[in-house]
Amino acid sequence: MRTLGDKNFRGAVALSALLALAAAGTAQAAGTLTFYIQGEKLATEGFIAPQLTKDGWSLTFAHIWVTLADITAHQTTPPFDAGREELITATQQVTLPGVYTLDLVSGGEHGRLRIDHLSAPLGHYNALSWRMVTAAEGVAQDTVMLFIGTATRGDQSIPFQLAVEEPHAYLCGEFIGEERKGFVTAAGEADLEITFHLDHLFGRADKPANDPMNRTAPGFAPFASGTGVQRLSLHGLHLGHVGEGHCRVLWS
Amino acid sequence: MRRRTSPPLWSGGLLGTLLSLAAPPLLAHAVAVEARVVPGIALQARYDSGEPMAQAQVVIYRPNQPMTPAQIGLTDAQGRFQFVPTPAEEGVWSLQVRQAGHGAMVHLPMPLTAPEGEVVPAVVAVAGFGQLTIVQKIVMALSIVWGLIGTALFFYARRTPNAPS
Repeated sequence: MRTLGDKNFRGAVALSALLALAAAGTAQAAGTLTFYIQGEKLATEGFIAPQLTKDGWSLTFAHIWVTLADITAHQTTPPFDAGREELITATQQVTLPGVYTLDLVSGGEHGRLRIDHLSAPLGHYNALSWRMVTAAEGVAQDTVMLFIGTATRGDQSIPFQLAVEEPHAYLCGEFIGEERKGFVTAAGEADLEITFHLDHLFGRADKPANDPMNRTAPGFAPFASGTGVQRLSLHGLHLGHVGEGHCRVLWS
Repeated sequence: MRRRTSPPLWSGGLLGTLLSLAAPPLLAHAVAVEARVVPGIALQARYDSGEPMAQAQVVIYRPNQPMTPAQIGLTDAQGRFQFVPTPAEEGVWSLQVRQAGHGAMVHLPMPLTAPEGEVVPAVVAVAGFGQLTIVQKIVMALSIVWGLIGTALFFYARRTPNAPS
């Protein structure tokens, strides 16, 4: 069943595509745009002291499965502002076809995991969007995100499986980090990155308790006494980023 | 006595008061220094709680080299940072502010037409976390200031001995 959030997101992408086609005209020179994803060290190494969860748990992950679709890079003028209640209007855009189920724990150098690449018209891709969708098959079937790992605090050691089941979408502006990204030049290579900030979910013991992130993050305590696959809601949380840049979240 | 011609300024009608236009007589080994009031850009970065982004990294990108930092600095204790754009480079200047794993970017079209003190319209990529009701956003404001760096521009004139003046 198509949801309101889906319609909003698909409508935005379709409108952007029409505008982009109108602006693109005839065949253009192109370069290569590669898409990466990562959950930073908190995914690959876990929450290790002093970076424990806000409630003092150490977490290590065997897998963090995420399933994404419609990963789309946009050129926007003026630049898309994720802080406003607006959709992305692109002058140019490219979309990775297909659905990707990826394990954030398996990130390589710097925790990054290569999703895919495509040929892209020249320009600066200063906005990125994607949908978090339900995996149709495999170990992450029926989930949007699936955290599998072990939590440790003192003498307690708890295996856990936390499943996010509600599809949603992220609309993001420009990647923000050590360097600017997304500049596709003739025959050149550029990249963009989807970044998940897991401390927005579990909080951080090395930050003050009244830090806005810790005030919002549920931490691990709500799941410490649960068994089996526990449902996890991401409503009100912003895990998806572009580097350090913020994204708007659309819910179904 | 020669009068130095002021180069065209980037701000059009925002041309600042010239403190000194007249160069001193050109003498052997003389160094002429001209100080002018120039319009600059003042950046104020804070969280929406009002807390300033103190000691945050600021990276400035020029329109013609958007991939290469033109200037890197830090905000002061009040989250302020000031800079003078290159006069001739029109286009969109981009300013990135980062702190503690979160960042935002503001884009500034040049030339500016806003009057002194007015906040410059700019697109800000908000960074934050949590629910929108308690999100800690990064709020950046840019404004034109005059006399920002009153002695920012210096012109040195050197003459070798016996050189015709």
